[in-house]
Amino acid sequence: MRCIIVSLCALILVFIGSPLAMAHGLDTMVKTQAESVNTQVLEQEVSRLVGQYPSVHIPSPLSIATDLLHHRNPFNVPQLLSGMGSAIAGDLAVEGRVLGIIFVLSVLAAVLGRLTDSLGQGGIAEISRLAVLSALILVALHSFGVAIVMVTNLIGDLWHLMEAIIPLIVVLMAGSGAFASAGIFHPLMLLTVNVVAMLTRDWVLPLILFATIVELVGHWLPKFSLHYLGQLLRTTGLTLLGGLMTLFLGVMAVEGAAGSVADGVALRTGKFLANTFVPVVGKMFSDAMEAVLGSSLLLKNAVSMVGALTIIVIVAFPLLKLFVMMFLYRLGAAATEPLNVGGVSATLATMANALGWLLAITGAVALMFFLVVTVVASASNGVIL
Amino acid sequence: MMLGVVGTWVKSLIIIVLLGNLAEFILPKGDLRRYTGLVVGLILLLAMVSPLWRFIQGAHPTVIERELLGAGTGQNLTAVIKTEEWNQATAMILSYPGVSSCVIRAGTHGGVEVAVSTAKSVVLSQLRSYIKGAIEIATGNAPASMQIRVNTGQTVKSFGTGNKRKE
Repeated sequence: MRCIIVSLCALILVFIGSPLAMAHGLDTMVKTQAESVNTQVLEQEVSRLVGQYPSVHIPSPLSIATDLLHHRNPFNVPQLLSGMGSAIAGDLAVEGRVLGIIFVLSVLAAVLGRLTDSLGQGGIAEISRLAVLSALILVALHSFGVAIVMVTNLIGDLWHLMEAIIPLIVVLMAGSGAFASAGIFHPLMLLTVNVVAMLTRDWVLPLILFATIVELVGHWLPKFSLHYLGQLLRTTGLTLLGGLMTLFLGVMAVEGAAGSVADGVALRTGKFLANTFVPVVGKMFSDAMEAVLGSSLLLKNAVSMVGALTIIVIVAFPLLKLFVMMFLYRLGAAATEPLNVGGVSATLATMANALGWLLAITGAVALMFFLVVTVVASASNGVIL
Repeated sequence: MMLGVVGTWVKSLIIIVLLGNLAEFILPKGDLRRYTGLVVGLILLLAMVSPLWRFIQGAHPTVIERELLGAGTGQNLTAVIKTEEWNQATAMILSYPGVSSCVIRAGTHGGVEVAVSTAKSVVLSQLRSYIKGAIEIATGNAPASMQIRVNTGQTVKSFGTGNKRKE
């Protein structure tokens, strides 16, 4: 059913486009095609998402298509890099302050510990250690909470972006002649995106959060430690994500191959039929069809490029922030170790590990969505050739 | 919700750990403290294992069936299984040379009705026993009654077993 609708759309595209293909140049054709597809929803979504980073600008699909046609670079990379540089500086300033608090606390704890040692009362040293560690864990958990909220929001944003971009890609895919791919990929892409985003947001992230809390409690109060429970929770979450990713890659590979073969056969048959059986204008008709399909291909690749660029931009900044945080916590763990206050450096190392896992999860999800947009769109590129 | 269960579980474990540590701090040094450690450890073990135990105990096949198929259970599942079995039988019958279409429906009194049309002439008795065998293999037992209608293009022949009905 969906296949039929999609192929109808494609036929309409072909019939609208073909007279123009005769009359005007490639530029006009691309423009006409871009106007026949409504990219407004996508552009709104993109500008909403990228609006948080005013230094970066994502061009519209039409301008990308024209730029590519004239061999120009459609995206300003130095701008993105300088934006990322200033973001790193800002993150370092903010997170460095947290690290400074942690340093002061642990130095205080070390001094208190030595004082009470020389006074000969072990209990007070223990209490002071506990107080410092409590404050430290509060600070650390707060920044971890910020990180986890950031990652959750990021995954939600990616989800919305994908839901705005998938219908567009599917329509353009069918418009460039890849009916079978469009039919196969539409349910598949939606399923993948929803399952991955939902499982990551509702299962993997909470499991990592639980694991981190359990391990922090273990460092805080070393008696009755639940260290291995934390490991169990974390392994569960990461195994879920890993299995999901393996499944996704396998399915994508198989369906991609099947879809493009079916499309190639169908399109060649169509061209042959038009050439042979439509009396005088058959050859012309099939040439026009090919030209329109080709320009639709260009537009489709432009749309998928917009998607890929947006994913890169909105993922790059949070990933950088997570990376800076992880680095600073590692630095803190290394620097507080010589002070020899029990538990402080272990706590900081645990925090750094947890942030590392968050980094990995975000990266994996973003990679999967990126693959959906790029590989799936280019799996149907070979049809026309 | 599964994750809610996990969350409560982890929360209760953390609370037990906190209380245990508090007890360690408050109690004076001595025998009492040693035993408290043991008791808290045992409670922790119990709290950790009991949800798993409950989960294993609750995992009856009926429960899973209800989870999968929603309310209304048994009927639903049997219908699904029966349709699947008939599809298998249809596929088997279609593989008989000369058979062009085959429809299996539920007949009266728990029996089945098989409508077969053939493209070329076949030996009817052989086809009949083939169909019977196919249904027996697919459903696992011989049906209570069976109506077979064979449409050979020119003539329509009916066979019945159990409650017979001749046309």
